[in-house]
Amino acid sequence: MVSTIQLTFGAYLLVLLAIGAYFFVTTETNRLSEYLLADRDVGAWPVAISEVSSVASGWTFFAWVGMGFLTGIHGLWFSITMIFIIVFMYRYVGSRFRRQSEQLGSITIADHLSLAVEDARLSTYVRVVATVSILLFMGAYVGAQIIAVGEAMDTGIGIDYAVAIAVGGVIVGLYTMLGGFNASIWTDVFQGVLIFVAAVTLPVLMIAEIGGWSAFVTEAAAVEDAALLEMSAGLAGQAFLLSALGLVTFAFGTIGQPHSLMRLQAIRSERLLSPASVISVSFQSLRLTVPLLIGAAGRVLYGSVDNPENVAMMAIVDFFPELIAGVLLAAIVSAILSTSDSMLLVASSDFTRFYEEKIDPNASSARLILLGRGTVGVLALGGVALAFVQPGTIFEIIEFAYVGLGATFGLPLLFMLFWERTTGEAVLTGIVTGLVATFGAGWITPEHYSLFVWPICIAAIVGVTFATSGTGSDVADVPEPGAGDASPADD
Amino acid sequence: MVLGVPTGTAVALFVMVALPIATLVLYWIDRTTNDGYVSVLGRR
Repeated sequence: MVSTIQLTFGAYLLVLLAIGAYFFVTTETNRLSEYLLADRDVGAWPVAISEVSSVASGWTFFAWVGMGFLTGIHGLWFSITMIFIIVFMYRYVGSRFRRQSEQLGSITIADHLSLAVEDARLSTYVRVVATVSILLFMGAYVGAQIIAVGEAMDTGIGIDYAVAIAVGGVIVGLYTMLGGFNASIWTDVFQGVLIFVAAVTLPVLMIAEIGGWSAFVTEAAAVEDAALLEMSAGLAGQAFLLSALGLVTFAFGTIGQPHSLMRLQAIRSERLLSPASVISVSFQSLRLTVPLLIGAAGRVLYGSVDNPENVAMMAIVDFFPELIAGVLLAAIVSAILSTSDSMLLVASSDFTRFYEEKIDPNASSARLILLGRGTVGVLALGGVALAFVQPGTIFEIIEFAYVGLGATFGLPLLFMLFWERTTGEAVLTGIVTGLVATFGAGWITPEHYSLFVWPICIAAIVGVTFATSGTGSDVADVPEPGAGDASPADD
Repeated sequence: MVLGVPTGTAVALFVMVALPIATLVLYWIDRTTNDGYVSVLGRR
């Protein structure tokens, strides 16, 4: 018997596919830059909301709710750090990065790092290592999202986990393959609005059920074995320091998320970075705070549960009428799918560019787009496979991919943009070290690896820059403001 | 005790609310002084 929740949910997935099909039919996605960056012509609102929606993923409604359930408000150490870094990225990095990206004609971050290194041999190495890193980390990231889709459908909608991850993988793969960046960015906008509604309504209902804010505060403080309302999470001394620093260094990964950086590359004009930052910071503040409250309220309401990461799904089913629960679950699954589509797109872009640059420079655009779509399909299948294996919690997999991407791409990019002495050798070393250090430290100290990855990578880049100073390969300069920017009338 | 929660928590929650407002103020400064381009942090 099909329930109202399942019917609503199914209708939503059809809308999603319709959006992909619409862009497939109406826009001529026959140029690569159009398929991947929507021709660098995206406004402030779509860029910011789609960024929020694409990071508001399995993370927001699963991993971060689980965090709130276990340690309460302690996760704000991460949230605050991340918000400051987002401000830094939009207001400080964005304009330089976009300007250089336009000058180099780069489409993705791996593409950018490779094109910026002037020595042809080094540039090839950069592209190879960067593409491998993207495929590895993004593959893990997409796998985590598909696990979340499976959990959402299983817990919330009553569809078997195995069927759910297969359906989720097919839907996201299909509509990203069809519509490219245009479809991805517009479904993100649509979903961003739904997430906003879900994020605001759910904690209000949960806290109302407990008896209002005062009752929530009293009962949360009374929960045994947890200090849900304290930034210290009840930890002290070295244990607190390690835990808080772990969250802060996890947030450093924000500097190098390829799907977020791609949006800075795609924005229509540097003049839109400032308004986009306001929208992005506002939504991020909300989605980095509210799930912690949902988790803490869930701890008060449910006491103990099998999987803390499923508390939001349980609450949605318990506190909303079936029809609304169906829409909200669709909103959450759609957020997860939108994260996956951005990731699939960015990973496929890098593989396509690698093919175009190094294997067949004369490949036609049609062939490249076909290759891009094929890569999306293969990666989606890989993500589904990872979701079947389930090597860790959603939180653990996301943390690993997030820190890995930040160290591998973010650090070399920032050094390149802001330190003129940075050499091509240092950029390559940074990427290799980011990849190796994340896997190495993750294997040696799985509990605290994010503490070690950053100093190791920074030391490697700075060390090689000094060692190759004067003899090393140059990297591209950041162009002066003004050249090539859209006129105010175009905004 | 603000909102009934410990002071550290209240400060952290305040920062999460204040940062969006701060970026809005910066945007207003950008619009009025620099034709919309980022003018504080990363002057072009």
